[in-house]
Amino acid sequence: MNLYKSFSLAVCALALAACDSDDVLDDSGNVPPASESQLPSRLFVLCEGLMGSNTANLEYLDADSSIYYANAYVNANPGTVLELGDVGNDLQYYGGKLWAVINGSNKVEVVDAATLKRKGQAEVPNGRQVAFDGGFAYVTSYAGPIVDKATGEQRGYVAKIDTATLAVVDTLHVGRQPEGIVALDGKLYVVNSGGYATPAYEQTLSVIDLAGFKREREVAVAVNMQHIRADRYGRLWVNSIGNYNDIAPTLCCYDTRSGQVETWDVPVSAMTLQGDSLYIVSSTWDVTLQRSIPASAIVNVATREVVSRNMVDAAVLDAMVPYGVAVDPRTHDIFVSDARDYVSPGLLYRFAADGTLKSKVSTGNVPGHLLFVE
Amino acid sequence: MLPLALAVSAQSMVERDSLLPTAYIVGSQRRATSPRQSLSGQQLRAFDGHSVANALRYFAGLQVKDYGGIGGMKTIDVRGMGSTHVGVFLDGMPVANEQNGQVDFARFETDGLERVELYNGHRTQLLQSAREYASGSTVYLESRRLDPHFTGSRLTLKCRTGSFGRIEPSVRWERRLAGGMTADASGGWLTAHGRYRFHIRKRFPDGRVAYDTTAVRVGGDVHALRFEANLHSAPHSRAQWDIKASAYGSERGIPAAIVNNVWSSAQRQWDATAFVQGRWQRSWSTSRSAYTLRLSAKGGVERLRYQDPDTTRMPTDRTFLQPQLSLSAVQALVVSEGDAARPRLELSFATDYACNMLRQTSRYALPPDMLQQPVRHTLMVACAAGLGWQRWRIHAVALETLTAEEAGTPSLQRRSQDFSPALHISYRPAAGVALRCFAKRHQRRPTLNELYYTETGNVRLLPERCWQINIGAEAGRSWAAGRWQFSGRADAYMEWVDDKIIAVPRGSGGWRWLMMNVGRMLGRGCDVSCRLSWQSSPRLPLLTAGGNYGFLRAEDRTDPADNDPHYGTYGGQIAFQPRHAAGVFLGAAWGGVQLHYSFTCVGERFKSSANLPSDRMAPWQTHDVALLADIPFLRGVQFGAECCNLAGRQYAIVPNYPMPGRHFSLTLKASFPFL
Repeated sequence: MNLYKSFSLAVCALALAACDSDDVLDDSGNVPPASESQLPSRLFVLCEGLMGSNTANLEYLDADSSIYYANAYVNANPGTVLELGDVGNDLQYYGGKLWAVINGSNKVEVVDAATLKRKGQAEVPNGRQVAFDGGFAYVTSYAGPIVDKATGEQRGYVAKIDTATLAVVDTLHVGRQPEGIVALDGKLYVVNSGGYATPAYEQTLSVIDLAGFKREREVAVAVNMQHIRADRYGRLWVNSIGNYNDIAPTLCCYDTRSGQVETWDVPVSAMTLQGDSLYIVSSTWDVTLQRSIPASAIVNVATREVVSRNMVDAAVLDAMVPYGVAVDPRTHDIFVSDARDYVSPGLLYRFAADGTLKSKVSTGNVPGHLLFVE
Repeated sequence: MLPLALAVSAQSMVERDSLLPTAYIVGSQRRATSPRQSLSGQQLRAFDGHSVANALRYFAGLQVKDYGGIGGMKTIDVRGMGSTHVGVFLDGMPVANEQNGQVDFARFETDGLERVELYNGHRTQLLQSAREYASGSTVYLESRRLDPHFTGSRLTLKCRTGSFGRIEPSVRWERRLAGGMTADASGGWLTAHGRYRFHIRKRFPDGRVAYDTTAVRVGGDVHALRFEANLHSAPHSRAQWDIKASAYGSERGIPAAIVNNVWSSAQRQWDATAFVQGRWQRSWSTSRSAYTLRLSAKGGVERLRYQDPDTTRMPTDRTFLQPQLSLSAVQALVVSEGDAARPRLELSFATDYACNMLRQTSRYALPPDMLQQPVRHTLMVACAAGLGWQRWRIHAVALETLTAEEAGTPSLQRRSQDFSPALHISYRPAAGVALRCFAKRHQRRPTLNELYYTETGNVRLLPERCWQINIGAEAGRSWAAGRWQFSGRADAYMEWVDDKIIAVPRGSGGWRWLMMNVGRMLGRGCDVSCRLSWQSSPRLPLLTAGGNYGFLRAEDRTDPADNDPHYGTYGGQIAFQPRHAAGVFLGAAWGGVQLHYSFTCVGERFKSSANLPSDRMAPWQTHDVALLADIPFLRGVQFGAECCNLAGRQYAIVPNYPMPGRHFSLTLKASFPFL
């Protein structure tokens, strides 16, 4: 029975063809030998990845050699199940370690800044951003209690984490959907967005006394705020996203001493403070043109003036969806990340201090958070 | 996950008898001039108890998008155009979800079906509604009818159990009534905890294991109840009508993506669907020409409640109610029957109207402009002409679609109009061989979600515009007095999709998605399938072997400036579309025993059009076996056992939605006369 024979042959061939092939870790770009002295040249990049895709990644550029260490976290921690996690939302440095808030993975990942080796994680559901003071990390989270069953109104909270043990030692409720957080002069300032309750956004900044970890008061600043930076003059720089409709995005300055609020029509997606210069990039949706308009600006925080509306080459910027910004404190080179279509791998652009393009490099998916360690 | 085998004429693109050199019958399904694949009758029965999605897996050029497990959604994508480009018809009436444009094939069981067919482009029958011409590809589900020779009544009891904690009893009663009428009623209950074990494993490029962990998929339980009743009558040869009533209700967990530190989800969904549909058809004829009128209607309502009780995420509890009404009138005129000297000419004129509404409510107060209540009216008119002469057959159709929509807050009115022509030509150079080609335009209207869903919806959306051209051949032959039978088909095609609707991020900083007409795709591919069977004598087993293969190069043509050789997306294979997919099936039937083996294999895919190595998804293969046997000495009792994913392959079709490993099911079925 020839046919029986060929049947069995066919089955064998199929079984061979079906040998296992697993997903492969991408180990392109190995981690070089770690050394504390190299830290200042490193630009760390936290790629967000799309929600539900588990593609958050921590990578870095060696600004001196211009080598980009793609997938650096994975290469340093290849055994970590499901890698860094889902949606990187903030990246900060404290005490020799990098703290990455991984929103969709309900955790804050802590890694050694020199080796990128994993030190542990703090459990914070739906975490947003992180700030530090006196051995504690403070992380904002959306996941507070639902205070109104009818509207589903939910408070956010701030988790106080012991940086030595990574244990959450205390929590404090703030406004709805808190985002940016900063510590300044014995106080914590948290911006509340109210992002769930479109169009009833929050307009307040929560002021928290650090010593007693108690909420002091709420200060109205602007609608739907996102990031916050503190300068050395006791002022807070926050951005308002607007309402995606008739309220345009703005940059605001709140003086903690006088209580004054100033506003500029400067849209902000990301900002970084270097010396007295606030470097800003943005991508703003234009309702009439039906597309995102990229822009950049530099604000002098001492004089409170918009110094430039063309921080980097406008022709280069026009082709980007700017999503993150950092400035090398040594060379003042400006780094801007491009989220492109948010689905494809992103790009990292390097500009000279005068805004001319020097180079660009491909990164992970949605490079959102750039950080130089000083 | 079942087998084919005998069933295999699944791919029997060319049914055996259709290859006999008989007179050309325009309008007959067997003379279809468009690429067709079907599973029917006894062959489809091998899939009993399975969802139609499992049967569809064996059609060349079709990908099933499966979220995994018994409750996971299963949609289909034909030739990479997207699941919203597939038209689905149950007994001639559209199964349409205007809210998301997708049909979940996990809801349809093959039990009650007589035939499942897939046409690339559209079917070219004489008597079909305007809507049947409107999609990029078309799936027909035909309900089972009593065998014309069967005169009594029958009750079938069935119970199925197996992996996922599945318990599924069902009952079906069918009977021939007086006056050429048949009736059937069926019902079933499915309950399953839906849990299954899965591995997550990654390797280094050199093959060493980086990590390998085992976990249990939870939150995928299903509890569903379904009823259906059909009444069919053919009082005489020129008239027939049928009525179907159907109801389905379910509660299920929605397993979310598996990501670092999060292994379960609390999301739940409740569905309730009920509809009634009917068709009436009558012919009048003279010696040379014939006129046929067919009227059909469908009315129903679909309710979906989605809840995410996880308080660490945005509290969500929303209900979507979709009442719908479809009406269709088709008139067909055979102008001339045709003979050796004269061509056969037939004309058809179809008018369809549909009204679809979406009523949204939210447990948590939302402003009215975030809960749009759209109403969509659709009028479709199609004029078709068929010409058959000697070895040639030509079918041309012109379809006009008018859409009018209203939504309340703020008051919105949208109107759109579209003209879509298509031309099919086929030629039969010899007995058992047919060459064919078609060119077709179709539009894919934005779904109600794409237009009106909270924040992401964009009322400015235009339809996606698509063109397809296809050239193909099919052939069938038998040798040695019919002991060997072969049939095969191959089609090559090109397709263009313009104004593809894609979610685009907007806003500064905390961005939101907005649906926009920005994508473009160019697809080039081919589908090949063939089947061979052998039976040396009726006392020996019938052996069948078949295979199918699909190749598709689907290029992202969205942004010509995005062309960097390393990370550019222009010209890259679109996300999640494999270039290669293939299936093989083997079967043996002997007496009351059938044994089936099937193998499915899907090539590598990428998570983005940049096609970077870091975005690569590994190829996967599955092996399934099934046994069906009549139990000796117990008339009418049948036993079935099957094992799917025999090798326990770990894979995911949708990233981060792990598919089950090896799983089993057992079925016991008993039929006997009743009432």
